[in-house]
Amino acid sequence: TDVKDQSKGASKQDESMTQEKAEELVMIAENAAAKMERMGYDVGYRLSERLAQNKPMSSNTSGGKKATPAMIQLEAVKFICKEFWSEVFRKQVDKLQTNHRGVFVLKDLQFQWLKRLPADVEMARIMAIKILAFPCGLIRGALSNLGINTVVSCDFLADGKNMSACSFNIKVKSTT
Amino acid sequence: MSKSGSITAAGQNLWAKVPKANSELFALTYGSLITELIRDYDQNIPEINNQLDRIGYSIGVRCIDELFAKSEVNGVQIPSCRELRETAEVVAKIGFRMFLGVSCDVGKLTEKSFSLYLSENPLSIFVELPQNEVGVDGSSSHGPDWTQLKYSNVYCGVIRGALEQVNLKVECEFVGDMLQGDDVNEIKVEVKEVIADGAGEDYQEE
Repeated sequence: TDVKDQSKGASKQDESMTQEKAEELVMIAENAAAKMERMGYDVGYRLSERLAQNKPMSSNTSGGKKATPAMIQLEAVKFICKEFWSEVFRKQVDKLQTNHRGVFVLKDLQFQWLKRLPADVEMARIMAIKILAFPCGLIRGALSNLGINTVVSCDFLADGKNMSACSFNIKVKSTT
Repeated sequence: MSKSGSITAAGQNLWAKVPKANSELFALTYGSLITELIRDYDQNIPEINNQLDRIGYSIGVRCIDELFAKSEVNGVQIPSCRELRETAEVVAKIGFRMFLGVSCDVGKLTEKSFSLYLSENPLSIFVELPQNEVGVDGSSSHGPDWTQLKYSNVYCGVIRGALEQVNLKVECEFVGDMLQGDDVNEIKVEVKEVIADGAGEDYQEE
């Protein structure tokens, strides 16, 4: 029984080691994600300037009424969902939801960059955190160039079963 | 049709088949990668060049697999390379065309080396390198020497990585850079060693 106990102890130790290891990996992934987010911001900021260059804001001109900030925000987010998304990912965002008070949820059910990741694998999830930071930054940068300061985060939909379904949550901080 | 003509056609054929990314997105993303490297390595320019080469190497090792796989699937024939001239043509006309949509020219061909001339560089659109800082008295100051930066050095790593997978150990250097005021982008490729094929000695029959 001694031997048995020992092996049990060892496997327990192994378990806590892998636990620690996994936590460390998540930490590293999050640091990398912060960096990726910053790169995404740079790219999004510049790219949205290029794409929006010749595009008048329709809510500024329609009906002669002054557009409310909420209308401008909605139009900017729609621009991200349609033009910006199709330039970058070759498809539009599948679903846009908003509470009309500065919170927007963009759902992409077949996100290009995650299509090839296996489902239900922890390492793939950690990798996906890093990959997703970039588009989060893209959105934040693009909106920031349109005069809207936001915080962007992302979630997996469908709980890891299908890695490529994800949502981007945009929260407007303030308009400048 | 000449052989180089059919290589060009093969390259264009493959380019038509691969999924494309927005070229501005590509260039801007590469730019932000450079910015990030400059920040990470504290403006140590030789080290930045070095890191770009390393990044390229990892890309190149995978690129060559993709090239062979995609050409197989799409029925595009890649001519076998018996001599260096043919290898150079495939890199220039198929490799660069398939992954970047541009082709480049081969020149300065010798037994052991060749140069690739890239008249169009998709990485460097929008790019302007900063001027070196000049001190008040006109002397050069302590700022980084931007003339040393090989902005597109990632290509060198890619070529090195890709050719290593087909048993050619090469050294690459970015010798002409339009961003630095040269007339044309030139990548010099020098073959160091042809790695012997087959299993190692451990596996030889007794």
